[in-house]
Amino acid sequence: MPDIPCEAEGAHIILVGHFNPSIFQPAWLAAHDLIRKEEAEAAKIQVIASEVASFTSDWLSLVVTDDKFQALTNDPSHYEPLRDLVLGIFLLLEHTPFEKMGINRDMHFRMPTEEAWHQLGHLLTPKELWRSHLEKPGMESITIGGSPKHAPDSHLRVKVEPSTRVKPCGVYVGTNQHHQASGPDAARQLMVILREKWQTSQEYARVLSENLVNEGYRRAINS
Amino acid sequence: MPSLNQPPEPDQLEVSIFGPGVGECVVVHLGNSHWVVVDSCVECRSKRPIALEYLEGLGLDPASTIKLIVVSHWHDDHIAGIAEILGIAKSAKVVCSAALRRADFFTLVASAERAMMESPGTAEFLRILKTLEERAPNGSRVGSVAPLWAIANSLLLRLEPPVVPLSTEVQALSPSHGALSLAFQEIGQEFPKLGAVKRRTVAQSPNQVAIVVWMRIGDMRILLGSDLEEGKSPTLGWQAILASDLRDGGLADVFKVPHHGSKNADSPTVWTKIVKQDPIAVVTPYASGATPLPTLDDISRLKRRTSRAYVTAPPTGWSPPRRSNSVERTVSEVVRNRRVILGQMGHVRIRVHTTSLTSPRVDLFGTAQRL
Amino acid sequence: MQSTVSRYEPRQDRSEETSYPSPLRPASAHGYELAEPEEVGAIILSEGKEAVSFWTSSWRNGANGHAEFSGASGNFTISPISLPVQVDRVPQQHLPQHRFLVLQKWEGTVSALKEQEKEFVAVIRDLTQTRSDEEATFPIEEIPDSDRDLLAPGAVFYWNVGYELNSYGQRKRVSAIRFRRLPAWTRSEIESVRRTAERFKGIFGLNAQPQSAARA
Repeated sequence: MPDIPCEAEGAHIILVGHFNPSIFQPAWLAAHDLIRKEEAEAAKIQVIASEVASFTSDWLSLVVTDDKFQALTNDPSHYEPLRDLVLGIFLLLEHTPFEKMGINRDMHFRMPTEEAWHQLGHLLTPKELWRSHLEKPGMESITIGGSPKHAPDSHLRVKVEPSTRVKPCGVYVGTNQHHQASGPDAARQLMVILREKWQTSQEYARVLSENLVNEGYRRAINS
Repeated sequence: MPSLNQPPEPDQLEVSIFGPGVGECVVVHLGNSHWVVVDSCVECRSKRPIALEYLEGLGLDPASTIKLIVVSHWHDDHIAGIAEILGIAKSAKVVCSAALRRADFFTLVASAERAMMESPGTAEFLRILKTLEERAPNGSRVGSVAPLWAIANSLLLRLEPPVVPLSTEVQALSPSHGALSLAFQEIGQEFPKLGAVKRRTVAQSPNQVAIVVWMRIGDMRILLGSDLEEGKSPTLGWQAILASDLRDGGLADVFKVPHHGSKNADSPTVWTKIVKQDPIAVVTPYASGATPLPTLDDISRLKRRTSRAYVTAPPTGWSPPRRSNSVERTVSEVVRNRRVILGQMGHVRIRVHTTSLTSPRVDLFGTAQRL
Repeated sequence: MQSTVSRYEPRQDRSEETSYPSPLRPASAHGYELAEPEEVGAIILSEGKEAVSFWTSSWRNGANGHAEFSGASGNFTISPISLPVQVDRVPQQHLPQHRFLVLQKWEGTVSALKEQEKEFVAVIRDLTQTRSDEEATFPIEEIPDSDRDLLAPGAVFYWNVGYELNSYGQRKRVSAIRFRRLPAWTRSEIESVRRTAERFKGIFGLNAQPQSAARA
């Protein structure tokens, strides 16, 4: 049985702390050699203001508010550059305080048949309990949390929903690996985790998402 | 059929030389479960230091049997996994080249971590320093956890019967005093400079600062040449070793050929003045780089020097594993000379009873072969 | 027709705030198609009110309106008034026009430059599967112009091989090299390095008499 293909994916890094959004301009990143000059020049700026900064390039989307920093990419060939960008920014802004970090992955799969798509939803959220209260109950979203084996000090949330990007029969699996640190060097601790755990986290998220969907499909067709 | 997992007898000496294509490790049994580890490389599948895997495979406890660990120099291919060995063999003496006993080397190691651009060598050395730091109980004297800093003709270990079957001395023949100032130049090139781009450290050649280890076990001599190359002056490299009058006058029965058999490390005088005629000579390859070592010329030269020459792995590396057709098609259009450089471990094992030192037995495992 | 969208109240557990790039998630609406947070839409600044990020695909379908956020009530309303009034930017569709299907990924370290042959040699580490290190010789022309200055021994790069897919499903085989970028050494970083080196000097007694091995 061939694997269910992933048709769209992305990764994002989210930091919670205190930021100065107006710094985060494409030109600033290019001036510090964090992105290519051409990428900075071609970037589409949504807004750069004291409360919020947001721009996109061909592979990067950056949104910063005063309490949250978000770097995203939908290009799997740029997962490592995304990590490097965040590491590089906070090597330069080493006094920026933040205490929480999410290393996240989104994956969208397409189930081979509508029946299989429904069966997966039913496997994850059995409907028997709901049928006495709702007509045609359907899974809109489910989230499970726990600690991943490779990083027992962190918290992992896995969300499964019908995909809005892949239609029809799309399944979205999103993983959020949450890390927290404290003390005056909390930010540096989180950057060390980002550097050392990025690849393992992304690989774990990928395998988890693929296994969930493929195992779900296998059980669905055998039931 | 020799068994890989059969440990040596208490009165049996052993020299085991490991090399997987890039990297080397030598483990020596001095007798009575006293082991010495010189350098380290990792097994490609488990990613664990081969010295630990080997000793555990023999049913031995590395923590209690490893007595001496020599870090002959800081290059990537000689140091992989050595911090893990140090972490386990907590009571083993640790020896590093005196050429590294300088603030600028610590700066180099610290800068690689800060830059988040560690090469395997600097990352490993940082782990060594941190492991040694952890060994120090609170309030211990400054410098008490430092490694032994080896310089030419320094004694690293001396054991006498009945601790070991035969009177044993382990000595460093290098680095020479002349080499110490050269080390400053090599390390200094890698220093962080304001406004400079961050890069991984790439070790420079020639290598003058490595520790060459000389072992005298009863009447047997073992010469482990590390990566020491020939120097351009009498105060450097093998010339400095030959010029020393503090060296034990014996000739080596077993010779770990220096610097992967390269011409730069070859000294004909070493073969006549320090090494016995027709010794057991083992070379570990360096399958990476524009010129993998040993070259065909190097091999021919080695075979002229001794009839008992061995190599731990093919110097040309291995063919890369086949990936999907699409990947192979694209890759073949882009690159050339693609090869695996870190492959299956090769192991040359030399064992001899202390009662008959002139009859060693050589066994080959993995990719090791006779030249 | 006006439509009221309730403010999404994140659960107070610890990881919610790092899970999605949005403090708001439209929960329901009347007359609009609302999308999930990963559909990047627009940043909306509401005059006199707190800036929020709001992600939706509804604007993509050409719905006209403006958004007003009322911090006090926690609601924002969408009403059908022609753009632009208070919306700063036309919403962006974040879905890429081309998608890269990565089949193989390596991290490379340049070990040697062969300038005359216009090539460089690199050790490449497989990031897709756990396999042994390989070495390969690359033509310098494979490096994008904007990365050429980064080529030097010790430089790190990523090499991705796969397919580029366009929105019509057309596939093109691609090999893409991108050099790693980190900021240049700063004064404070060099100072931090110096402090770490000093610490090691202290621990290993560099200033004291060396614990060197005795002479044989």
